[in-house]
Amino acid sequence: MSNQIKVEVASICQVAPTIREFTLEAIDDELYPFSPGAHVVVEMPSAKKIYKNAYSLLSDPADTNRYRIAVRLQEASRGGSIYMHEQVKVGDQLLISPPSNLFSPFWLAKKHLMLAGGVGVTPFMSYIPEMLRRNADFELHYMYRSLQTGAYKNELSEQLGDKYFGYDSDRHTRCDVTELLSQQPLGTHIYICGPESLIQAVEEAAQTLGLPASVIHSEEFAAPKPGMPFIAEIKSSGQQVEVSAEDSLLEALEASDISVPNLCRGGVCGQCVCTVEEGDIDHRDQYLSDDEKAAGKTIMPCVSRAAGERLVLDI
Amino acid sequence: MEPESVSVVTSKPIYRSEISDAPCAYSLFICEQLSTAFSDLYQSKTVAKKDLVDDGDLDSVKDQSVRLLADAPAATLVYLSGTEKYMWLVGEQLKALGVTEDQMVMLPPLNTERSVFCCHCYTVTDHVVTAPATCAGCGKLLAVTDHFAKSHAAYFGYQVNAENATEIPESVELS
Ligand code: FES
Repeated sequence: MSNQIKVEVASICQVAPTIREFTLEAIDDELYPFSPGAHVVVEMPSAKKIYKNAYSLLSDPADTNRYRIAVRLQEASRGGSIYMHEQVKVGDQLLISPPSNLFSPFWLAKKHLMLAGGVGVTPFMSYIPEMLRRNADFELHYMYRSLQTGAYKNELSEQLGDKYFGYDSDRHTRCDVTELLSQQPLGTHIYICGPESLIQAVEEAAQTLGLPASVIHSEEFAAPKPGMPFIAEIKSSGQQVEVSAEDSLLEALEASDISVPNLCRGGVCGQCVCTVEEGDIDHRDQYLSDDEKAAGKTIMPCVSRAAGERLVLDI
Repeated sequence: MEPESVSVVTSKPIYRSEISDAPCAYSLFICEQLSTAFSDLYQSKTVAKKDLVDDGDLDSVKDQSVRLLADAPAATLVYLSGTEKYMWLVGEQLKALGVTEDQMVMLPPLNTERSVFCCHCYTVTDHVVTAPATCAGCGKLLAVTDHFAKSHAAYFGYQVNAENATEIPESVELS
């Protein structure tokens, strides 16, 4: 990506046991303005390889002097978050993409119900200042485990008063999603950011109750998780690309100079879609519909992998 | 000579006569004119709370919808019956109250009449059953397309014989 912006890490602070916040300031140019719910893709040049992960901007969109992001340490994942937690120091320079937004609020909603799980609170940090300015009707329901996550819970609770609801599963307080949804008035739009299990639970509850699908919005960046190594064959050239256990298919293609358009690198935006000629797919994205996944003709190479040893891509 | 089509957009709504049993907590039934079929549909739905509005007047439907939907839950379904124009115009009013399109069930329209939007003078001509149709505003002879504008509840129309006003295409019945 040639339009990357060079930023400097102005400060780092631990906002929860496993979450660090980074404040980024522009070096040469000004930072771009952004809208609530936007994210940037941060390039992390670790010794082994360059990771690129998407992180929601959590600063007030009205503040274009700095961007803030929060990174949760994902022990099980590959090195991206470990790099951010262990290598990045104040004064370091990083390359980030300009902001893009796949999760903006539906402003015509009568009421906004935000459901955050753990570090999934981040996009709502940029929603809230704008919602307050617009005097919108909203509630934030924040589910976390205080031994690991729960960033900003105290300041949010203080700032939002009766619009804030916290649930700490390390203290056995849980959110009854079905009950919560059943109380919502007509015209409510529901935004979910958090682990897939939360998104699924909300979607299922909504379906059972009879809430229309169009009022449910969710975002989960799946940082590519490792898997079994496999070979990707390029149909047009016959080229064989080895995808190691640690690399995503997109990264392996890029390493072989095969460029695939991409934006979020987290299985959300749909930019990187490739046609699969042969081979079974382990779908890990949020973009393709269930039907498309079942058809097995398309793959999102930024997060998804071969289910077997070989995959033939029609590119 | 057939005029060349300026628009190939086809967005004619598709209506289904069989109604699935979607769950919901409140159902509102709105019709232009109560038919037995619609009354049977209303009777057949078991739901915690339901209301029936039988009213052909848009303003009065609006007032009743505002009142009935004031405390409605997010899990609301609205069933609509009437002419195509009636259902979509009521639909527009409902959208302003927070009802989404996937919360509205529109039954097959009561007749094949179309409202046609004239792209020359912006007049909407109602009750069109054949094409070409004469615009009620400017009198031009309009080709009636399948390009449907939801918010106007009308089909896009354009002059069929702009090059040569003496050319009058054969009239066809609309479906
Ligand atoms: S880059 Fe966004 S889905 Fe793959």
